[in-house]
Amino acid sequence: MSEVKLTVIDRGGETHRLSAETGEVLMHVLRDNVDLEIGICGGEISCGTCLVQLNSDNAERIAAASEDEAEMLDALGAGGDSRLACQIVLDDAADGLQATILYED
Amino acid sequence: MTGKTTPLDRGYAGLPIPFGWFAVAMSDEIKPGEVKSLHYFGTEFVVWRGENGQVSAVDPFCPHLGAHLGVNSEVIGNDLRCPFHHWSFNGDGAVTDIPYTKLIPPKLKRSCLSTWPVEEVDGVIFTWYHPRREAPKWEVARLPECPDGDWILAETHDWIINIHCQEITENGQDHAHFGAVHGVPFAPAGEFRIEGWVRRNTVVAEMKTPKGLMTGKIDVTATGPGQSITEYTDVTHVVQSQQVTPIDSETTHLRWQMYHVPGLSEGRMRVTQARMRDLVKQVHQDIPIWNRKRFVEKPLLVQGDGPMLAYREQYARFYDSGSDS
Repeated sequence: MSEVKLTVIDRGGETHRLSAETGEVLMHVLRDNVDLEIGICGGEISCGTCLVQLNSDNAERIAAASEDEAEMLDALGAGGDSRLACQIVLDDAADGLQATILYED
Repeated sequence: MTGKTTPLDRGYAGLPIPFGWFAVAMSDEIKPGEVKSLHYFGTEFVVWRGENGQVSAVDPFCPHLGAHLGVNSEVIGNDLRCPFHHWSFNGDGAVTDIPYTKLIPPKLKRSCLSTWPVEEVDGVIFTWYHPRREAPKWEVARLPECPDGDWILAETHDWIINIHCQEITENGQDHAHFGAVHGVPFAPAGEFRIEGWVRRNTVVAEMKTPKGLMTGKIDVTATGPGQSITEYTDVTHVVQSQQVTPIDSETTHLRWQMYHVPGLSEGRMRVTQARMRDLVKQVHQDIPIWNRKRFVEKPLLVQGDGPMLAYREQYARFYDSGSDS
């Protein structure tokens, strides 16, 4: 396991510098360190609360969205480099990732 | 000597519940806007009738957070609304409304609640039971064509009997019981024919009439384990539509609807009513024995007993073998 450095901007615009490990799911990192309201459905692609905007560089390198995730992103009206954090398992390609939490109540 | 008593074994543990179309309610028992919990097949399910008249059936627990969909739920339009958080479901098991959320996930709008196939035929609501939820393998049988206009529904009956449903239909093959239990001679003529899931029998029998015993024809069409339609043609013309429905492996719900042709004279109507009374009287003679008997896997049969073992071998095709077919 190796370290993955993350920069997260929350809904209030505040920046969080986090350190995670490969193998962790991004949604859990966000929920446990930034906002408990993220990940209501437990990672089942049903709630949309883990919607994040990623920086292009890292976004290009991490594994692409599955059909199910793509369908939900579409239903959420999310475009471009938006992803559901519950579907992102952190690996080396995620090191240096910048994620902006998009979900709003 | 041990102090232990063992439960009475009536032999049903070895008999699974067969698959098939089974009657679960009469049409007029579920009115538009009504929802009911039903207990059959050793399990539970919930049925409702929408504004559009369609009956739907679903598994009893809401997939959201588990509330029972038959308790304080409401029919809204054609959908069933759960009492716990007011999620609404249509008859395909798809979520149609969640009042408090911004977005219903696409996959919930496809289906997230298991449904039971439902058919409504001749005033009876049927559902298809299969232990591995395989799709229906045949269609619900309908009444034969009435020779003159439409059949007239004269009587309905139902009974709950402490027996496995196989034994009720097997009883028809038990030739020797007719004399002892019903006091009528049984003269089997003709043979049964099996065509797929349907079994047909035509017998010529002595039927009781006010003028004594008269020869009549009895045509039985048994479709799957759950339906049997018998047509009596003699001085009367009566159709008896029977459904047996397993409540569990040792309890059966027996339903009858009895029809006759329209335009009967007073005299023929009296004979018809006497025939129907006689059929009901006969089942009342069977029921006390059914309620307490044991299922014997290896019965001690002798000449004259009737083709019960052959019937059992054919009935076995209604039991799920556990593999896809």
